[in-house]
Amino acid sequence: VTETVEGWPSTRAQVMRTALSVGVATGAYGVSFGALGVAAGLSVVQTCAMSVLLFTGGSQFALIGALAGSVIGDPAALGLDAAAPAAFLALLWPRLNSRPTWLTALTAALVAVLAVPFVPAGVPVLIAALVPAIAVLDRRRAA
Amino acid sequence: VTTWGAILATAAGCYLLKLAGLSVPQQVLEHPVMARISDLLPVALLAALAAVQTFSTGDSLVLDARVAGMAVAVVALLLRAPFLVVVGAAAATAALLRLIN
Repeated sequence: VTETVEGWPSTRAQVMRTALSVGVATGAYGVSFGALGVAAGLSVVQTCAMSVLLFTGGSQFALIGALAGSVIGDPAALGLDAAAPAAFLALLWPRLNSRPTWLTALTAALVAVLAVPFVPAGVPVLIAALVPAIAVLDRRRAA
Repeated sequence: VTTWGAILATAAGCYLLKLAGLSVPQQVLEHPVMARISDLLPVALLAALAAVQTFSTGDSLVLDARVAGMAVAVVALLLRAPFLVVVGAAAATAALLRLIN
Protein backbone atom coordinates (compact mmCIF):
# COMPACT_ATOMS: atom_id res chain seq x y z
CA VAL A 1 0.00 0.00 0.00
CA THR A 2 1.54 3.23 -1.11
CA GLU A 3 -1.18 5.81 -1.27
CA THR A 4 -4.72 5.98 0.08
CA VAL A 5 -7.42 8.05 -1.52
CA GLU A 6 -10.44 8.94 0.60
CA GLY A 7 -13.22 6.43 0.00
CA TRP A 8 -11.17 4.23 -2.31
CA PRO A 9 -10.07 0.67 -1.54
CA SER A 10 -6.58 0.74 -0.13
CA THR A 11 -5.39 -2.79 0.54
CA ARG A 12 -4.78 -5.48 -2.05
CA ALA A 13 -7.58 -7.59 -0.58
CA GLN A 14 -10.04 -4.71 -0.86
CA VAL A 15 -9.05 -4.06 -4.47
CA MET A 16 -9.45 -7.74 -5.32
CA ARG A 17 -12.84 -7.90 -3.59
CA THR A 18 -14.11 -4.79 -5.38
CA ALA A 19 -12.78 -5.94 -8.75
CA LEU A 20 -14.33 -9.35 -8.30
CA SER A 21 -17.76 -7.99 -7.39
CA VAL A 22 -17.74 -5.61 -10.37
CA GLY A 23 -16.72 -8.52 -12.59
CA VAL A 24 -19.43 -10.83 -11.28
CA ALA A 25 -22.08 -8.07 -11.55
CA THR A 26 -21.08 -7.24 -15.13
CA GLY A 27 -21.05 -10.95 -15.93
CA ALA A 28 -24.53 -11.46 -14.51
CA TYR A 29 -25.80 -8.53 -16.52
CA GLY A 30 -24.11 -9.91 -19.64
CA VAL A 31 -25.76 -13.30 -19.16
CA SER A 32 -29.21 -11.76 -18.78
CA PHE A 33 -28.63 -9.47 -21.77
CA GLY A 34 -27.66 -12.45 -23.90
CA ALA A 35 -30.69 -14.46 -22.83
CA LEU A 36 -33.06 -11.52 -23.40
CA GLY A 37 -31.49 -10.77 -26.80
CA VAL A 38 -32.11 -14.29 -28.05
CA ALA A 39 -35.59 -14.32 -26.53
CA ALA A 40 -36.34 -11.06 -28.38
CA GLY A 41 -35.67 -12.83 -31.67
CA LEU A 42 -32.04 -11.92 -32.39
CA SER A 43 -29.63 -14.65 -33.43
CA VAL A 44 -26.69 -15.58 -31.19
CA VAL A 45 -24.28 -13.74 -33.50
CA GLN A 46 -26.50 -10.63 -33.61
CA THR A 47 -26.78 -10.57 -29.82
CA CYS A 48 -23.00 -10.76 -29.50
CA ALA A 49 -22.54 -8.09 -32.19
CA MET A 50 -24.81 -5.76 -30.20
CA SER A 51 -22.87 -6.45 -27.03
CA VAL A 52 -19.50 -5.88 -28.73
CA LEU A 53 -20.43 -2.88 -30.89
CA LEU A 54 -22.90 -1.09 -28.63
CA PHE A 55 -22.25 -1.81 -25.01
CA THR A 56 -18.52 -2.42 -25.40
CA GLY A 57 -18.35 -4.54 -22.29
CA GLY A 58 -19.35 -7.87 -20.81
CA SER A 59 -19.59 -9.32 -24.32
CA GLN A 60 -18.11 -12.68 -23.41
CA PHE A 61 -20.90 -13.16 -20.89
CA ALA A 62 -23.55 -12.13 -23.42
CA LEU A 63 -22.40 -15.09 -25.53
CA ILE A 64 -22.96 -17.43 -22.58
CA GLY A 65 -26.40 -15.95 -21.99
CA ALA A 66 -27.30 -16.10 -25.67
CA LEU A 67 -26.28 -19.75 -25.88
CA ALA A 68 -28.07 -20.53 -22.62
CA GLY A 69 -31.09 -18.56 -23.77
CA SER A 70 -31.40 -20.51 -26.98
CA VAL A 71 -31.44 -23.68 -24.87
CA ILE A 72 -33.71 -22.49 -22.04
CA GLY A 73 -36.08 -20.64 -24.34
CA ASP A 74 -37.95 -18.41 -21.92
CA PRO A 75 -35.86 -16.04 -19.76
CA ALA A 76 -39.05 -14.88 -18.02
CA ALA A 77 -39.22 -18.29 -16.34
CA LEU A 78 -35.89 -17.49 -14.69
CA GLY A 79 -37.02 -13.99 -13.74
CA LEU A 80 -34.35 -12.44 -15.96
CA ASP A 81 -36.85 -9.81 -17.12
CA ALA A 82 -37.13 -8.72 -13.48
CA ALA A 83 -33.35 -8.71 -13.07
CA ALA A 84 -32.83 -5.86 -15.57
CA PRO A 85 -35.09 -3.25 -13.89
CA ALA A 86 -33.77 -4.31 -10.47
CA ALA A 87 -30.22 -3.67 -11.73
CA PHE A 88 -31.22 -0.19 -12.93
CA LEU A 89 -32.89 0.51 -9.58
CA ALA A 90 -29.79 -0.64 -7.71
CA LEU A 91 -27.65 1.70 -9.83
CA LEU A 92 -30.10 4.54 -9.20
CA TRP A 93 -30.39 3.97 -5.45
CA PRO A 94 -27.14 5.61 -4.22
CA ARG A 95 -27.97 8.75 -6.24
CA LEU A 96 -31.28 9.30 -4.46
CA ASN A 97 -29.76 11.42 -1.71
CA SER A 98 -31.74 14.66 -2.00
CA ARG A 99 -35.22 16.01 -2.64
CA PRO A 100 -34.47 17.19 -6.20
CA THR A 101 -33.06 13.78 -7.20
CA TRP A 102 -36.08 11.97 -5.73
CA LEU A 103 -38.43 14.34 -7.54
CA THR A 104 -36.52 13.90 -10.80
CA ALA A 105 -36.53 10.10 -10.48
CA LEU A 106 -40.25 9.86 -9.67
CA THR A 107 -41.25 12.32 -12.39
CA ALA A 108 -39.09 10.62 -15.02
CA ALA A 109 -40.46 7.18 -14.07
CA LEU A 110 -44.06 8.43 -14.22
CA VAL A 111 -43.58 10.27 -17.52
CA ALA A 112 -41.94 7.22 -19.11
CA VAL A 113 -44.63 4.78 -17.94
CA LEU A 114 -47.45 7.09 -19.05
CA ALA A 115 -45.85 7.46 -22.50
CA VAL A 116 -45.56 3.68 -23.08
CA PRO A 117 -48.98 3.12 -24.76
CA PHE A 118 -48.59 6.10 -27.11
CA VAL A 119 -45.08 5.92 -28.58
CA PRO A 120 -42.82 3.16 -30.00
CA ALA A 121 -40.65 1.12 -27.60
CA GLY A 122 -37.56 3.02 -26.45
CA VAL A 123 -39.09 6.46 -26.93
CA PRO A 124 -40.62 6.72 -23.39
CA VAL A 125 -37.12 6.72 -21.89
CA LEU A 126 -36.00 9.41 -24.33
CA ILE A 127 -38.98 11.57 -23.35
CA ALA A 128 -38.15 11.05 -19.67
CA ALA A 129 -34.61 12.24 -20.45
CA LEU A 130 -36.08 15.72 -21.00
CA VAL A 131 -37.29 15.89 -17.38
CA PRO A 132 -34.00 17.19 -15.84
CA ALA A 133 -33.65 19.96 -18.44
CA ILE A 134 -37.25 21.10 -17.98
CA ALA A 135 -36.99 20.92 -14.18
CA VAL A 136 -33.70 22.84 -13.98
CA LEU A 137 -34.69 25.54 -16.48
CA ASP A 138 -38.12 25.96 -14.90
CA ARG A 139 -36.61 26.28 -11.43
CA ARG A 140 -34.16 28.87 -12.75
CA ARG A 141 -36.93 30.92 -14.33
CA ALA A 142 -38.98 30.78 -11.11
CA ALA A 143 -36.00 31.87 -9.03
CA VAL B 1 -30.69 -8.10 -43.14
CA THR B 2 -32.91 -5.42 -41.59
CA THR B 3 -31.96 -6.55 -38.07
CA TRP B 4 -28.28 -6.35 -38.99
CA GLY B 5 -28.87 -2.92 -40.51
CA ALA B 6 -30.55 -1.74 -37.31
CA ILE B 7 -27.71 -3.10 -35.15
CA LEU B 8 -25.00 -1.45 -37.27
CA ALA B 9 -26.89 1.83 -37.60
CA THR B 10 -27.43 1.96 -33.83
CA ALA B 11 -23.75 1.18 -33.24
CA ALA B 12 -22.69 3.97 -35.61
CA GLY B 13 -25.13 6.35 -33.92
CA CYS B 14 -23.76 5.48 -30.47
CA TYR B 15 -20.17 6.19 -31.53
CA LEU B 16 -21.17 9.48 -33.15
CA LEU B 17 -23.02 10.44 -29.98
CA LYS B 18 -19.95 9.66 -27.85
CA LEU B 19 -17.81 11.66 -30.29
CA ALA B 20 -20.26 14.57 -30.12
CA GLY B 21 -20.07 14.48 -26.32
CA LEU B 22 -16.27 14.68 -26.43
CA SER B 23 -16.30 17.68 -28.77
CA VAL B 24 -18.56 19.83 -26.59
CA PRO B 25 -16.50 22.83 -25.38
CA GLN B 26 -15.39 22.70 -21.75
CA GLN B 27 -17.04 26.01 -20.83
CA VAL B 28 -20.45 24.74 -21.96
CA LEU B 29 -20.05 21.71 -19.71
CA GLU B 30 -18.95 23.86 -16.78
CA HIS B 31 -21.93 26.17 -17.04
CA PRO B 32 -23.95 25.71 -13.81
CA VAL B 33 -27.20 24.96 -15.63
CA MET B 34 -25.56 22.30 -17.81
CA ALA B 35 -23.75 20.84 -14.82
CA ARG B 36 -27.04 20.57 -12.89
CA ILE B 37 -28.84 18.97 -15.85
CA SER B 38 -26.09 16.46 -16.53
CA ASP B 39 -26.08 15.64 -12.80
CA LEU B 40 -29.76 14.73 -12.89
CA LEU B 41 -29.74 13.05 -16.32
CA PRO B 42 -28.54 9.62 -15.15
CA VAL B 43 -31.14 9.74 -12.36
CA ALA B 44 -33.95 10.37 -14.86
CA LEU B 45 -32.69 7.73 -17.32
CA LEU B 46 -32.20 5.02 -14.69
CA ALA B 47 -35.59 5.74 -13.10
CA ALA B 48 -37.33 5.70 -16.49
CA LEU B 49 -35.60 2.47 -17.57
CA ALA B 50 -36.43 0.74 -14.29
CA ALA B 51 -40.07 1.87 -14.42
CA VAL B 52 -40.65 1.00 -18.09
CA GLN B 53 -39.05 -2.44 -17.73
CA THR B 54 -41.11 -3.15 -14.63
CA PHE B 55 -44.53 -2.00 -15.80
CA SER B 56 -44.60 -2.57 -19.56
CA THR B 57 -44.34 -5.21 -22.25
CA GLY B 58 -44.00 -3.79 -25.74
CA ASP B 59 -46.42 -0.87 -25.89
CA SER B 60 -48.85 -1.97 -23.19
CA LEU B 61 -48.76 -1.41 -19.45
CA VAL B 62 -48.85 -4.64 -17.43
CA LEU B 63 -48.68 -5.65 -13.80
CA ASP B 64 -47.00 -9.04 -13.42
CA ALA B 65 -44.41 -10.91 -11.35
CA ARG B 66 -41.81 -8.24 -12.17
CA VAL B 67 -43.58 -5.78 -9.84
CA ALA B 68 -43.17 -8.20 -6.94
CA GLY B 69 -39.54 -8.66 -7.95
CA MET B 70 -39.00 -4.90 -7.81
CA ALA B 71 -40.70 -4.67 -4.39
CA VAL B 72 -38.25 -7.29 -3.09
CA ALA B 73 -35.40 -5.34 -4.72
CA VAL B 74 -36.46 -2.20 -2.81
CA VAL B 75 -36.50 -4.12 0.48
CA ALA B 76 -33.05 -5.54 -0.31
CA LEU B 77 -31.75 -2.05 -1.08
CA LEU B 78 -33.19 -0.70 2.18
CA LEU B 79 -31.33 -3.50 3.97
CA ARG B 80 -28.15 -2.34 2.18
CA ALA B 81 -27.76 -5.62 0.35
CA PRO B 82 -24.98 -5.77 -2.28
CA PHE B 83 -25.83 -5.23 -5.98
CA LEU B 84 -25.85 -8.92 -6.93
CA VAL B 85 -28.11 -9.89 -4.03
CA VAL B 86 -30.60 -7.17 -5.05
CA VAL B 87 -30.68 -8.34 -8.68
CA GLY B 88 -30.74 -12.02 -7.72
CA ALA B 89 -33.56 -11.55 -5.20
CA ALA B 90 -35.69 -9.72 -7.78
CA ALA B 91 -35.15 -12.41 -10.41
CA ALA B 92 -35.76 -15.24 -7.93
CA THR B 93 -39.00 -13.63 -6.69
CA ALA B 94 -40.38 -13.23 -10.22
CA ALA B 95 -39.33 -16.76 -11.19
CA LEU B 96 -40.84 -18.26 -8.04
CA LEU B 97 -44.16 -16.44 -8.49
CA ARG B 98 -44.40 -17.68 -12.08
CA LEU B 99 -43.57 -21.21 -10.97
CA ILE B 100 -46.39 -21.14 -8.40
CA ASN B 101 -48.94 -19.73 -10.85
